[in-house]
Amino acid sequence: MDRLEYEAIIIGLGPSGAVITESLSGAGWKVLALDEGPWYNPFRDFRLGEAPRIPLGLVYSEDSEVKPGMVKAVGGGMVFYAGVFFRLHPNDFRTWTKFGCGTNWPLTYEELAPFYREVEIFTGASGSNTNIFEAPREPYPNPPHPLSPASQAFSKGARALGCHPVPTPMSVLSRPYRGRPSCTYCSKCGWGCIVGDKSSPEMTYIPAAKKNGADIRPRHKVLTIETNNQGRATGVVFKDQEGARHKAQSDLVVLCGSALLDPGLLKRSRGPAHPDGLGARSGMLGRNLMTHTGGRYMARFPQVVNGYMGLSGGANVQDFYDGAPDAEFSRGYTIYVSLVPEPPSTFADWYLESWGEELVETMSSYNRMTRLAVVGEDQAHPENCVTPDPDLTDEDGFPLVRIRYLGTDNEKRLFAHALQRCREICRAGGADDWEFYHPASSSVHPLGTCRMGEDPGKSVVDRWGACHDVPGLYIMDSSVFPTSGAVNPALTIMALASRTANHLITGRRG
Amino acid sequence: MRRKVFIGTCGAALAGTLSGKARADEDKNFRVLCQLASVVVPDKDPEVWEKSSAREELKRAWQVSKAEEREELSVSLTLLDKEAGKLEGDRDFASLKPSARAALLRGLIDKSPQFAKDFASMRSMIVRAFYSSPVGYQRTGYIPSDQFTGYRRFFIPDEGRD
Repeated sequence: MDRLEYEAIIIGLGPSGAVITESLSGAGWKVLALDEGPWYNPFRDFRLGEAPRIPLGLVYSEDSEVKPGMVKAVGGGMVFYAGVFFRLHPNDFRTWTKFGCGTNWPLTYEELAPFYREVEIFTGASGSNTNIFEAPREPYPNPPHPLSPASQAFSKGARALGCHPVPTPMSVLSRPYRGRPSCTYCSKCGWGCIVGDKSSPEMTYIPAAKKNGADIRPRHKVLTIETNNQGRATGVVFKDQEGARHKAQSDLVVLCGSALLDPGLLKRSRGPAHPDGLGARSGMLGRNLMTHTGGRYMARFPQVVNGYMGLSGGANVQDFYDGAPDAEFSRGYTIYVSLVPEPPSTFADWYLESWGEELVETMSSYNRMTRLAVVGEDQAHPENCVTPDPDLTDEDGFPLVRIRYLGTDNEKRLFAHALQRCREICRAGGADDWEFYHPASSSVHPLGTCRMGEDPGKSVVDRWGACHDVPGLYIMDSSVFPTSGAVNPALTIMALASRTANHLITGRRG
Repeated sequence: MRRKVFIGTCGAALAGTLSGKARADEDKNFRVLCQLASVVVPDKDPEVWEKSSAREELKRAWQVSKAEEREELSVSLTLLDKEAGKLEGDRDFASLKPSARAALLRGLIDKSPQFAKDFASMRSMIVRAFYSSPVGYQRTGYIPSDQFTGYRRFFIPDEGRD
């Protein structure tokens, strides 16, 4: 086994790993970044349709109500995501103090705001700074995307009800920016962007990190994180795509995997000072899995709105972000205009069960349909967790990840409230009484299995992502969220990573 | 398109290896499937399942499905003819009126779990064939992304944005 030495080793090149790799390599550090997934070439791999995705190899308990998932890829889930790019709100960092639920974050919105800004500028985010429910903020680097007819109908209905619709912030270019073109509205963001306007990490941070000299290795799997007798992280053992094993040394290891995979790697990385695995002392490792309460609502307008076209995101309302006067649930939700599933054959086959005249009548209004997404705050519960499966193992003999997620009445009441608001908004916008909806049965927003906190007895990492138990080990990805917020998490994951990278660089300089 | 031609060729090659009797059975089963399709996705053009792009799509789907699956579905397609015969003397499913076909289908779905399972598979094949064909695009108003050249015309700036 050969030995390699670096100043930092990054495990995982999703949104957070990409940001940290770019930042540290940009500061002149010698960085090794490993990812188990492929590094897709969008112009080659996505041109003929959806590229084959490599799943994480997860198993779910029989009673699991939501099946969160993710893919392995350089760029992470963002390669296939829609591009919605919200900030959290200041209240999200203080839910215990303000609302008596959840827990406070060990940092404030104000501390994170400069890093939100930094990421938005790097990626060329587009949006409007007119959302009255967000903290006051600077204009986005790029203007909001024009509203589609579906978003206009939604906005009209929302305004009629006294809500405050605004264009949804997106990490998709609304005009050419730093050598990349603007969006063509081809509606294929979810298949992987072939135009180059979606600012996912494989188009932005990772090429920049490569240019900085980072050693980026796709299809390399980290088997264990190594620690010494004193319990300090010393490097990793990894496997290349031919199966050969290597050891890389560094006194800084940053785990940027995902909320679903991190606990497994940490638990199997036992060492003399960590017999139960790394980060396990608080008992919180693998617990408090959150997925975002939510679902989809579809309505039908009298006019053609082509709801399957363009960007998922469109317009949104956050009037119910902190709940509502009639709310019988904690916290709240965001509603935004999503895309109607396409092509129509997929919609008719997967989403409808009817046949005959009923099916034909429904499908004849396909181009008049719109679809709304509800992203609701999910309360953390220790019983919702990822654990090693007792029976099943992967090709390396490591236990597969077993997921158990049970919703609560709070989530059900929240979704019921959101559905009613969706219905009212669409009807006020002119929709007829046809509707179709379903709660989320899967999720691509797994959060919270290595929660961040000041108390080492109740959390896995501190306010910078440093593991309480393991000097030299940082965890910085969606797993550190103490609460979920009610927006897509991509931007917050990246901003947290940017903040931690800045902390590491400043610390070394100091 | 190349992929479709390849699949179609493979299907045709497979069909070419069948014996005369087997081919006749296959043809008959496909005819009943088309009749079923006309109930699952009835169209204003009564000949749509006899000579349209949707029929071609369905034929491809039928031919490239696994032999075991075709065999299983064929049992249910044969059942449709048998049950039609019970209803009206020597008549088969194809010769029933559309309303009678729909009623027969509904009855079988309610009565037989195996038929209901097979029907779900055939419904999937039929709706996928119809709604991925040019005629299906026309009926839904769908514009595929490779024809999005005039795409931006669908977007009108909203008066409320900055």
